[in-house]
Amino acid sequence: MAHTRRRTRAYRVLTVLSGVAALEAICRAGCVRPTTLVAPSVMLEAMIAALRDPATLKDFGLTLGEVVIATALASVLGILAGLLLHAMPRLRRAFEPLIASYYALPLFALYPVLVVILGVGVRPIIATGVIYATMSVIVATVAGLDHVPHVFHKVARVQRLTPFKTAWRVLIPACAPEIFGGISLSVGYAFVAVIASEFLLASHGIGHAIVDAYNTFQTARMYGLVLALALLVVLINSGLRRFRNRISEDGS
Amino acid sequence: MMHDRIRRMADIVLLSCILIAIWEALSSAIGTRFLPAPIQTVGRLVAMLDNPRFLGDLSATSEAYAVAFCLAMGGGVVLGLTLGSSRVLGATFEPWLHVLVAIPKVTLYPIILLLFGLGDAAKIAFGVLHGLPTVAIMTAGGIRSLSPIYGKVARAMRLKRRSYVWRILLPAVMPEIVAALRICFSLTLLGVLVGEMFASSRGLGHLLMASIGVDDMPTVMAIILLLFLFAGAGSSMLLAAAHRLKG
Repeated sequence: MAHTRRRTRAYRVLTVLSGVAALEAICRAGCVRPTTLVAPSVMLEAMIAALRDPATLKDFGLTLGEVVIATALASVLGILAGLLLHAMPRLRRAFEPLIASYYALPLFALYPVLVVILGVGVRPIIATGVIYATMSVIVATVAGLDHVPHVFHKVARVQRLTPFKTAWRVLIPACAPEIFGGISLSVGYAFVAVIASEFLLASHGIGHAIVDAYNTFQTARMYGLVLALALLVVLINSGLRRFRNRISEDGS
Repeated sequence: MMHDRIRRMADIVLLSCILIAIWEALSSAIGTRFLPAPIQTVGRLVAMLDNPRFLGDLSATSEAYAVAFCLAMGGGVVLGLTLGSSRVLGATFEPWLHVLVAIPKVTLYPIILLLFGLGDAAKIAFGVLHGLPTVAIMTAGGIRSLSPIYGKVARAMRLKRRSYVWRILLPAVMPEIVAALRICFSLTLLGVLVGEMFASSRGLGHLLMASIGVDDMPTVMAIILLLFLFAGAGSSMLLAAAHRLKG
């Protein structure tokens, strides 16, 4: 088992390296114009140059902050809405079409409305993040609550817990792994929404920095920024996945 | 059964009424200039459906979406079958599909524009990029969770590779493929629309951005409503199909 795992890891590294090498060769040989695609080594250089620039770092910080706040708000709202939907099966079934079609909608088109309500700046961006991130927490919470054993509800009744205490002390801890799964998905959705709003509509943040580089023909800088952002997202995702694996192992 | 269905429809109608009431209340609270009222939005949508320019945008988006959806679905299933049936290929390439799913794909759009140029090809490619990885991951996952007896039967019957794929593998992973169809339906639509919102000269996404630019909120809301009705109807139909397939 350990042997095959080591072998697949070797394959993975090998395919990446050969892909990068091929890209490097194509670019160095001048097969593509440097305004279209730059060599990986140039991308890396541009990334390091961009990360040395305090203004770019500030953009990164701003975007990360927006994502964190949006995820936190979405977690609270999503768990509350999930508890509510699970307690009212008729409401839940009526909501199904809305849940099913939710992620097809370009909801960040509501940005102008949000600007009117919340003002210019980071708040409407955070709001679009919350709008996108909440639904995955709701879905995960409802699915988690479905799997809570019936005896837990009975115990809560025997102990005469209030509905609030039942939720806080019994239900939420019982489906914590599912809820956490939903929250870690919602980080991804918050990222997508925040970056997309910055990209299309805002004038700050890393999404805007990428568009700005594209519009001003700074191709190397654009690729560098995309690379930095992709690395950041992959890092966050693998961290969350490791943490989730650990808590679900503890639970079982 | 029939009674149940009628009650469910009634619940949906009731919920829609509540949501419309909330919308109405919000729009009168912050002003119809910023958030048009429901009736105003429906009126604009009906008026737009008579406008040949809007119909041109609508058909541009529909065409790009249809092509992107077919490519994402077909490519995703083929890729998923390939990665799912080979342990080495799966372990080597699937992590990259997960990376592709996770990163905000808008950031890749300038790269796609540079590779495919301005035009329909770029937004189709962007739609495919949204849908394909998820379909491939779900299909591959479906194959991996199959009981090993299927492979054994195929070997015992000495099936050729092609008939193994057509007669055993594909039917066995049909539930996963239908589930992937529903997700692909949404993701690809979002991909095509976002593609149109940035650097495009036609389509609903472009109209959306143009309307945001001139503060034409009734048109913005009318487009969102239209997309919502389309996505809702499509997803509900696919959901019903998935339920029926499960039996």
